[in-house]
Amino acid sequence: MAAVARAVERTGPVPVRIGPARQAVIGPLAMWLLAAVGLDLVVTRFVVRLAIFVPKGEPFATAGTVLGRIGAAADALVPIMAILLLGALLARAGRTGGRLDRAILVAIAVVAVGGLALVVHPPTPDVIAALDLLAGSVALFAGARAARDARLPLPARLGLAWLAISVGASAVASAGGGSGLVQGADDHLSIEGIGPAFGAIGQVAFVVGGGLVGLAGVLAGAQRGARRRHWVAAGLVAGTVVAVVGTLAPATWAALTTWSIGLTGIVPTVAVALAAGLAIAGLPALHERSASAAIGAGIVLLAGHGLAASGLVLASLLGLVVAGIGDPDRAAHEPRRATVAALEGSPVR
Amino acid sequence: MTRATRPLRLVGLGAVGLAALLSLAGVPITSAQGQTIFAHRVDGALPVDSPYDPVWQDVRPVVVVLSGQPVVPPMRLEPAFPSVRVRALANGDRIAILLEWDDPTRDESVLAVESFADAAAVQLALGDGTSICMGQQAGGLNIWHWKADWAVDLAQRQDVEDVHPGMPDDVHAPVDDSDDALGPDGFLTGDAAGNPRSAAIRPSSVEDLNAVGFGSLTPQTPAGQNVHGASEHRDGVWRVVMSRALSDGDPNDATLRPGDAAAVIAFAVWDGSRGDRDGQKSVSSWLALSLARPPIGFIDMWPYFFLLVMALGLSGFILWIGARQPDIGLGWPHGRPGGRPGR
Repeated sequence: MAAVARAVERTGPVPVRIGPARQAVIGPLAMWLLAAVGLDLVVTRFVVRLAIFVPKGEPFATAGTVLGRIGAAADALVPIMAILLLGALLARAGRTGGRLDRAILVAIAVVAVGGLALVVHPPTPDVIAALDLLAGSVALFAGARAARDARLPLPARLGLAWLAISVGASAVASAGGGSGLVQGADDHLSIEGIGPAFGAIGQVAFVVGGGLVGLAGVLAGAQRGARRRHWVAAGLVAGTVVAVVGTLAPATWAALTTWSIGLTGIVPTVAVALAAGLAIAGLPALHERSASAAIGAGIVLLAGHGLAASGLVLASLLGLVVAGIGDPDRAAHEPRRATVAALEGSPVR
Repeated sequence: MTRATRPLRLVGLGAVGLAALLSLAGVPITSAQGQTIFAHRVDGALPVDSPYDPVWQDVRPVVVVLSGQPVVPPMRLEPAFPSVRVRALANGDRIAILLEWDDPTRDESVLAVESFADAAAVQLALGDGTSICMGQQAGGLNIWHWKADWAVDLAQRQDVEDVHPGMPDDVHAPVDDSDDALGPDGFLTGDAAGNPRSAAIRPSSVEDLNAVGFGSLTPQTPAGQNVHGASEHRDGVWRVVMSRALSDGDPNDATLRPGDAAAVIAFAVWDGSRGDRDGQKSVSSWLALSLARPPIGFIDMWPYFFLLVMALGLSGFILWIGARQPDIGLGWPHGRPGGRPGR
């Protein structure tokens, strides 16, 4: 990955063609990925799952089948949108990205094709472990990059770091828990506890991260006054609903959260309700402060924790990358800067 | 947020159309591996009758976490067992799956009204689009259900007389002497009707079943009952082996072929002493069952290496192209006058 990034860097000064192609694509594509992951959460992982409670006779069976088809389409839309965003991020990194940015994106491309390969080819323990560990490493690097952005409020930076830990922990849990990484019972390191342990860590990190990025937005919104009061109300309602349903029907709620966002009940319902309320109330306000952080965190949160679908893993990693983009793309709004850079024969940084 | 340009909107619409087409055609583009159980390759016969055979000891178990079944009654809100340890072996034409779990009580009878037997099940998805909760019309399930009471019945069929030895023996009268008479067993209506649970002789301790939703669980025909079972309870631990031919052409059986993409599998365990039966069970989530094509060597990994090279090459190409193009804008709300970013 780093070699590819270095090779591209070595291609030297390049001409800049100023023209109509100066388009803003990352933002729309990130928003579309956010929408696709949200659709997948609502339809594929929630409504379709809820359909098991519906009687299986007609007309429910037909409705369930139609719903299942829509869910399958939403499931397919996530990786397609993710690939489009990944391509755009790669193209952008070719000009403006540093070596680490490029390496992270190339590594994500490897994770993406690995997920595709697993669809048609049986995995081996080594392949599973390698892909999971690569995904975990990418998550931590991308998360660290996002959390280093000093322009973000501290809770948002901490929240992004926790979300990165969550994505990384779920990858390590997958690598250690079920890949059969170490074969043989007696003469190898025992790693039986790795899966459940990292799964638990990941769930806690997911809830803490979601709560913190939401808190950052709530605090930012409070500084601005009452402009986002309706989002605060929505967060309150959502948090209350989660708390009430989780308390009154804990078993059913646990089943639904396990299927939809990967929380298996390790984190208390009250904490999940608080985090959900903060995220819904705060992310729109955080979007005004830093669109990339809000959209990136939103993608990670909607993708859920530890859900094994390769498209969702890809979306989570891209969410962390998007969150780390940070600042608005000033170069896109300052043509003179690009022109001067072109005259100097150096890529825009 | 900067609005998407028209070409970009067309790309987005194309993506939605592509997703719809792929889902309609049933072409999956995401994998859901999760925890993976690898069927280890064995040359020669599998230890299908020996749960404690040394061959099993050479396979590292995958610890599968169990949860309760809180969806439909009878429910089990908390799992009876925290986990089940799973191993799998395969040779050229057969697969064997070993389930192991700690259970201090050995419950092998269902003859008394208040008694329930230990049991375990392997659930395999038949195609895409099924539900882990007993399947659905869009995709069914193939279920292998091992029953401790059936395992005991293999040696000697238990009956009510074994539990209540002093019970009176009914005299069935009048005796039907016609040519097509069922004899005294004609009064055993379940057996006469072909109910496998009432059968006088058990073909196996494992029942081969199918389901397409709640209430649809159906045993396969006697000819279709092809899952072999073996079990042993030792020192408070159950070990159960379920084995079957990899592929037998029966559409009701999950097809397991070396070299295919991983199969989708789940497990369930019942604790008879806690009253487990029917839906009151401890269940896993979906896992993947992988049967690699033997032998696994460096050259067998070519699809992954090919795709790895493709990913690296394509990424490098896009980076290279990107370096020669004007900046791709982000489209976030740009800085206000005064230079405060992100407003």
